[in-house]
Amino acid sequence: MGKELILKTLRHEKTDAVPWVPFAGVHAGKLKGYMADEVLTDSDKLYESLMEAYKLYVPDGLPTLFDLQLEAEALGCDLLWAKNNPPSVQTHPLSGEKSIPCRCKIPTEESGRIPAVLDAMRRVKADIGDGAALYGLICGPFTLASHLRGTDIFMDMITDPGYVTELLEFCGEVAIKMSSMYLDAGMDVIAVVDPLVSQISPKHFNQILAPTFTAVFDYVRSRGAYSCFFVCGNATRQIEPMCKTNPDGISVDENVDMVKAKEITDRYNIAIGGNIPLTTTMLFGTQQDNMKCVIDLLDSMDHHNLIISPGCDMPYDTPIENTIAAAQAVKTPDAVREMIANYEGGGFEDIEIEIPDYGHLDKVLIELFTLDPEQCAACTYMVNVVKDNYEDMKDIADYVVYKYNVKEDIARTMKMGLKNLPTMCINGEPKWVSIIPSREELLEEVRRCAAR
Amino acid sequence: MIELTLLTGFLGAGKTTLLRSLLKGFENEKIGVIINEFGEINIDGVLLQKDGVEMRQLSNGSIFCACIKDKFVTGLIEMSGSGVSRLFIEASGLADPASMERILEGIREQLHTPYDYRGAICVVDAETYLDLQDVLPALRSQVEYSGAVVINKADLAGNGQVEAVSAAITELNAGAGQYVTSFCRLDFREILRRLSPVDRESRESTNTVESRPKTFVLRSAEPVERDSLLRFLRAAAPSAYRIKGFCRTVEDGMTEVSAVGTRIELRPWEGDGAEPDLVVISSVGIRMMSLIAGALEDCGLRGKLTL
Repeated sequence: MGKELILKTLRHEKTDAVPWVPFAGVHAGKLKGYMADEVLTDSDKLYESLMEAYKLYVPDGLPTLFDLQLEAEALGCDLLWAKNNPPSVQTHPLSGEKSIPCRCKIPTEESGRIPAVLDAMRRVKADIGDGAALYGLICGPFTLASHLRGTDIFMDMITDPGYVTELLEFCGEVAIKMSSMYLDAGMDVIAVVDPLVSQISPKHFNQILAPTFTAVFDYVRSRGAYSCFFVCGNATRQIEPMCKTNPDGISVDENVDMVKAKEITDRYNIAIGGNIPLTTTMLFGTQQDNMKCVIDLLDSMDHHNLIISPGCDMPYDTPIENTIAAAQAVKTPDAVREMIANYEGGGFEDIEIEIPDYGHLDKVLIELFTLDPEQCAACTYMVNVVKDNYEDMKDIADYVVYKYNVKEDIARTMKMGLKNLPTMCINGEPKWVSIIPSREELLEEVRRCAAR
Repeated sequence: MIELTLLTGFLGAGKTTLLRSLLKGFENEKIGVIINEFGEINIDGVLLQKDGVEMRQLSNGSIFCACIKDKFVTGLIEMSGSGVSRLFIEASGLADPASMERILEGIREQLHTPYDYRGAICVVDAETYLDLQDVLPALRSQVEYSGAVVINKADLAGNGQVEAVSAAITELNAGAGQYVTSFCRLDFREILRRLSPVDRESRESTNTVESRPKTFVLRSAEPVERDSLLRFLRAAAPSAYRIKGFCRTVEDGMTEVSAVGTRIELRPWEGDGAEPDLVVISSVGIRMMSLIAGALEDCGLRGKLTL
């Protein structure tokens, strides 16, 4: 499981399960209360956030940093920073000046924010490198070329394809250098993330972009590592040209019909990943929506060469419980399929549930509403914080664990009006929703309630 | 005054061989050498290491390109205070030296000892020059700004080829002395004695960051079979202007590698200071990366030679 599951999939071997890669970029910061700009600039905060994502989301593969502006910044683009999003490029050094940057400008381990990123990568590798395949995400050469040149590049492709080819090759050298540094820092997979690839014709892709992308993937393979080609937007017509650049995997978002795309990637024996919708499902949907989405994906495709992941970088404010639900569905599809069936089928209202009279209990009642305390890591941690500290509160508190794969427990969860799991209620009040309290916080709250 | 001579010539034409011979000829003098290479790694510096030679190595670009011109200028100023009596500058293979005199003029006031610029010697490969001069403008400039042109590798040239190269050179620069040879075997004292700067106005070099070839470095993580290495070089060399450097082989240990087109040479390396790095200078842009990766795989060298 875990790392090996990803590596086997990228080697196109048969696996017993489908791997799960949550693209928790700036969203990872949310797990520790850090804003996007903090997690993208501070190696300690990035490290902490990644460790939390690993703990909560039980990923088989974990991206370490999702910021397509990192290289552009090192090459002289000014960035506009945001609290809830990765930064955006504000200035394009080659706008109005059709030239190629000097090779001496290719980023090194000392450039821009790269030292902080490498530091976080090395620490994460040391701590969880055996558990999860670590993804080093680099800005794709075409998106980087666009950062440098601005929107003129689309016209250049028609009027001066030779120039764009040169610029692409330069950006390819940057990509190779970034890959080299990330592999040296312990990354297992290099993901070349190029959202703009979906915005051009397959003809232009083949003529101008393909040799550079192929070179990057060939480089990664020569290092004994794995590569993925991430694209966003409607890249349907690019799937085949992308396959021909020979990555080990391709990742698409909800704009691509993954079933049809997989028919193409299967012909090339390339893994495909995707494509839980980022906003409708992950950001604004419910846990059930996320579970259903994953189950539908799993049930619509052959599991060989398949990775389940969000369509792209998860929104900062993605509810944690939604990601947990998606993870749960990938990890225990049979159980979750049953949950979803129950959820959709309804009928829980008929099950008689007695809600405790919280105002007249002898002891404080801790109720742990979980998806599954064994399979869902976040649930496990929430249950464990109670179990591990129960000795210190057994005289004043009782606890009970409910599972969302037991009909009575589903009815109870619904009757309690709980939307997200895991949730810990104290005397009927949802106290911690998808957040695991520390021992001190828990004991303090239980003692406070007992004193009433 | 420090006698300054510039050596130019395309990749693999024989500049380093020529410089080696020159250094041998001036063993009793304190000689300065500035070696310029495109890649991140300076192979020629290792090949030329010698006691009593004051050496500066400038890598990662042409000394006539804005990207490292500042380092070149600093090197020239430092060298002028190092007590050398002669300075040889080996330019990178695609260097356009048209601005050499302009650079020297610009730093005249800052020199510790003035330079006496004796001109440039350009080495051309008799076998390949005519094909290359049409596609690489820097090579024409090298000939135009030379006081002497060495037509090297005459033994490899076909019938009438040396004469054709000679005629092309005369057309570009009738005033340059021409010397036909193989293995750069010549009376260099005589060439140096007769050398003078060309009577041609100095102009901006065409060397820009764009016109620079892509280079890739391969390191031998462990010794490789000589035969596998040869197969790899045969596969990669046709798409490279040049492959040079060192590689550890099972049979010979550290081995000097030189490949120009289909001509590949491997020699056991007896000297010191060589790192097992092979520099590949691409003639096909970034596609070379894929060709190298494919050739490594095909020759069973993946993981043994690493990019």
